[in-house]
Amino acid sequence: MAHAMAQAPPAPYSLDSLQARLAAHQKCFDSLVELIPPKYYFPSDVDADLAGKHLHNKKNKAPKQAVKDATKKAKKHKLDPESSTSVLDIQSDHLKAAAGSKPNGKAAAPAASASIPLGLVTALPSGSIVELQAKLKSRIDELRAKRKAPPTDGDAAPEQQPRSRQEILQIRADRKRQRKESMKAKKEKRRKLDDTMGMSTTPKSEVGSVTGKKRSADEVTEDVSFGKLDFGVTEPSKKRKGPTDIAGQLKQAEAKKMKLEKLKETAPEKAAHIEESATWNKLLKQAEGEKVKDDVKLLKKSVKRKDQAKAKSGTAWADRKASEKKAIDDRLKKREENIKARLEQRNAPKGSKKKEAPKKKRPGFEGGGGRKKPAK
Amino acid sequence: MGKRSKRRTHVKVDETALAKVPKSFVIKAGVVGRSLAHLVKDIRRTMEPNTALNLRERKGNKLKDFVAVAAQLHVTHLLVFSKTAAGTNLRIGRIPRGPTLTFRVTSYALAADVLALQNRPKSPGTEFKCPPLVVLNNFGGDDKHVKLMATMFQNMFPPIQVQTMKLAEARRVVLFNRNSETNEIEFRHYTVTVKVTGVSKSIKSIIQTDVPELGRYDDVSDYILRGAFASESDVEDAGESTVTLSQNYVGKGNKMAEQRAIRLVEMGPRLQLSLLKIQNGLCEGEVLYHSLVQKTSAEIKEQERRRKASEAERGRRRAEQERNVAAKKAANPDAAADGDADDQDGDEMDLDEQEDYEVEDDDGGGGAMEE
Repeated sequence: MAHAMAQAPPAPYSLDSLQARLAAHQKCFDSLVELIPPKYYFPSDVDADLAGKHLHNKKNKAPKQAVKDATKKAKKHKLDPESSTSVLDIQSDHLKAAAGSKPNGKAAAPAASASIPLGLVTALPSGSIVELQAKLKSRIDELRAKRKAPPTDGDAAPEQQPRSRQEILQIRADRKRQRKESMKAKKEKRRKLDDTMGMSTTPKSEVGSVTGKKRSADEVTEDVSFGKLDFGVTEPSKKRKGPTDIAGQLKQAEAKKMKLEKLKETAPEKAAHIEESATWNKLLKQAEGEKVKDDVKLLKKSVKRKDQAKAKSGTAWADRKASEKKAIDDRLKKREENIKARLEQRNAPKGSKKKEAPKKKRPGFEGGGGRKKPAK
Repeated sequence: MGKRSKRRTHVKVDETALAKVPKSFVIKAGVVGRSLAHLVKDIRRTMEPNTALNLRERKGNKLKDFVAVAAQLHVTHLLVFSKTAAGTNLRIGRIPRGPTLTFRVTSYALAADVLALQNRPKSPGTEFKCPPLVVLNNFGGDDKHVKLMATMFQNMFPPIQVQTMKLAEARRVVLFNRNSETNEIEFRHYTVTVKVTGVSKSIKSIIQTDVPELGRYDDVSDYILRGAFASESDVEDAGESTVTLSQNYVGKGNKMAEQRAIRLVEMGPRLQLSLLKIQNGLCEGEVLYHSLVQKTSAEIKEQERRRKASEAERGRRRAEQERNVAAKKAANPDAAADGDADDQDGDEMDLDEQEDYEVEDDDGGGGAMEE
């Protein structure tokens, strides 16, 4: 087609040769279209596609005989010289059929669009070409302005345009460096802000920092206290007030309770105040680790426990002593008995010696006495 | 060769001194979810080395189990994280029968998130061998509850041993910052780093790292005078915020009597706490301060009465059960009586949240008043 176009002489753009030019263009396109087999050119029926090759269990499967007949018919139709097989012929057939069915002025347009959906261009929006071009240009300029694109070669003033490749590269490098430095500065600022969040900042450093994000950047009160210090030396002036044994503490606690009760009757607010401050002091001491013993109930329990333990150990001691004594007594008694027996034995006359009790014999050998002779 | 006698022998641990160092248990109560579990782990690392790092809570563990074990191990503080429908709570209590402070954790950030914010996060080294230093801000004033909070926070960490502490043991800082308007307390955890000041970037890199690539330069002056871009923070440090190291410090080249700038790098979790209430006992007891609710004395009495009634009922049921068990045993001495007579009602000192029972010191705690 390009070959054909090149050979035709460049005709002047006049109206009378318009027809000839159109015909030439038409011929080129027709020759191309004719090469396309009609199977690929015309759009197939959508419904046939749905029940197509992916649905294997089609309910409306054609019976085998019908399929056979259809193929035979198609084959015959293909070899028939009178049947129209090229795209152009089929198109002309369609046109004739449409013209025959609707013989009025409107036949052309609906036929073109409805029965032959060939993608022919529908009516263009009204308005001249020049207006449209102006609209397009303005829209493009708007988008470029939004994007801040550098002006094209035709628009910028001649002295701003870069002369050489070197200059263009230089400009680009400068822009890149600027962008990098601004990013770095932003990052540094953000990092500083994160570092100082939550810390009590000194007024000096607040001058430069951004105070927008922090809630109360101007009013960070500085009242810093630190953890405990242990100097390793117990203060000698610190002496324990009050009794150190439980009984004494119990007495003290009870006395305090009594006083508080009495005070409640006379001046209740003062009593409440004292009680409250006492509880808070107790809590503070406990938070520091000192054990505060002023609960009467618990003190009583401790006293009771101590007394019970004492009593128990007392009884154990008494038991031990008694058993010791008993052991000594027993030994003493036994000794005296032995001595007495010995004396009696020695001092008693010979005659009065009784026959000693017979010695106990081994079990099984109690018989003794006469031994019988074994029977023959 | 004569007999070698040992001179630098193993330092004997002083038991009494060890008992005085405050130790803590950090636990979570009930179902808390994954991020809170991570937060618990992070807080444990913060409290290192005086805490149980790998503590495991079983489902059936109650508070009294921990308290029972704590006495033997000289653990003094209990930090409990729990989650309710209203929000996340943290309870800090002193173990035998000390006060309990209940905080609402309005927001928190895990250590991993804090490190992810940084350009060059420091990886943890030997910083956790020593306890952190404590800094409190804005805890002055006359308010009793504020004073109590300050005392609690100060005493959770061991005190600085002025005579024997080395400079190299000050590696971490824990900060509690109180905002007077909103009454919120921010918790932050930092690592202490020292930086060389007053030298240009080129010299700093020569001092601190190995000799850099000098192949590109003809003369070393080219390298030193190349005018590397100085960071803003260097300029800031040069003035007043440098210190002279009194002893050798951790890190390459930090010797005694050298000038360094101290930089705090955030490392650990962030917490935003607001005080809810202060209780007399360990997770129980009389409520001495409540930031939201104020009960009249009539209400308090009513609550007390109800509590006493339920206690009496419980005692009665327990006694009855024991009687039944004894009767069964007597009747049939062979059959083993399966008794869960204890812990029928076992929510005396529960890990979970309790209502505000305003009670006197009850003797369920088991009188630990020793001489």
